[in-house]
Amino acid sequence: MVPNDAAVAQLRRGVLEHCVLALLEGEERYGYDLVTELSSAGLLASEGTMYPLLSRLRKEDLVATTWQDSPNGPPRRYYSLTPGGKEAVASFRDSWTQFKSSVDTILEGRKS
Amino acid sequence: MMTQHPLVADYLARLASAAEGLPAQEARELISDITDHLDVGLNATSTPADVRNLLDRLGHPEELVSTLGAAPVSPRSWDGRAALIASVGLVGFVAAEFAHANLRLALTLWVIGIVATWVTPLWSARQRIVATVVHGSGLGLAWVCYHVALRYIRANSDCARQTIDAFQDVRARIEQITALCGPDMTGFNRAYLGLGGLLLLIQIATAVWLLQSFRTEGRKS
Repeated sequence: MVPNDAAVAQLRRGVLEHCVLALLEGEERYGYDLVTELSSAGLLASEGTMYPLLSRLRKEDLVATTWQDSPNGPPRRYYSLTPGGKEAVASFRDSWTQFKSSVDTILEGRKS
Repeated sequence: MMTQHPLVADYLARLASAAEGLPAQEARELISDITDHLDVGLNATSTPADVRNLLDRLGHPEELVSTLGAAPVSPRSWDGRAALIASVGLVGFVAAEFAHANLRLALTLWVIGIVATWVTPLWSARQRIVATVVHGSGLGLAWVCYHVALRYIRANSDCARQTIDAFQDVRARIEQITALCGPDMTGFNRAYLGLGGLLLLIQIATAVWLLQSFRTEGRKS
């Protein structure tokens, strides 16, 4: 079940592209595979929007694509990280850790 | 290939028409990515419920296109306006033809027809040219018809010639010729109505052809 309220939707939009890049760290994956993983993690409201996102990431030279044969069916487009993409993930990881701990501090502080 | 499933085909058709506002390359890529997604996600054992589920999860075609930063082509909202302008154009042309005896009014209507024809986003370039040539020439031809008929009756009826010379106003002329020279009017009426009727038929046929676009556009929405 995808959480649906506006705040979560906004957060999701903010982190989505970095999650995509993170999923590509260390391995190439094809679109459908990325979509199902992010969707079951509750990070995608509509799966189709993933493709425009991937095509933007490719234009920004954060991911590269290659066509590879699939065991059954037509060839698939595989996505992999470019050096720029790797940098983007690394820098987001740092920012996220900071961001998360700041938010946690505030949330925990309020609770007690 | 499950992309032949009617629900899938319908979805892809909607996507294709929503993507018309995108640069060609982007539209092609989006459609090919989504087609591949559906190909991978569906197989021969997929039930109609599976198909619907997969499509629901993809989201609305219009939404996907707007993610790419372009306003999706939404035939419904734009069409209403386009169709209205196109209709004004057609009505303007036909009214211009009927008003040909009053040249000033006719020319005003004709200009409205031309402007509307070229302003409405509804017509393709080919349709604009056909509308301009066929409908645009209609007024001129109707005017020629009228003057040919007038010259004919002038040459063949003394009564008509005298009436024509006596009345400057075009509408009064026709009324008076008909009233005063009844039997002599046969030739005039035959030439005038015959040529005019033929002209009108051509105009109506062209308008019907042009109006097909209303239907095609309507189907897209």
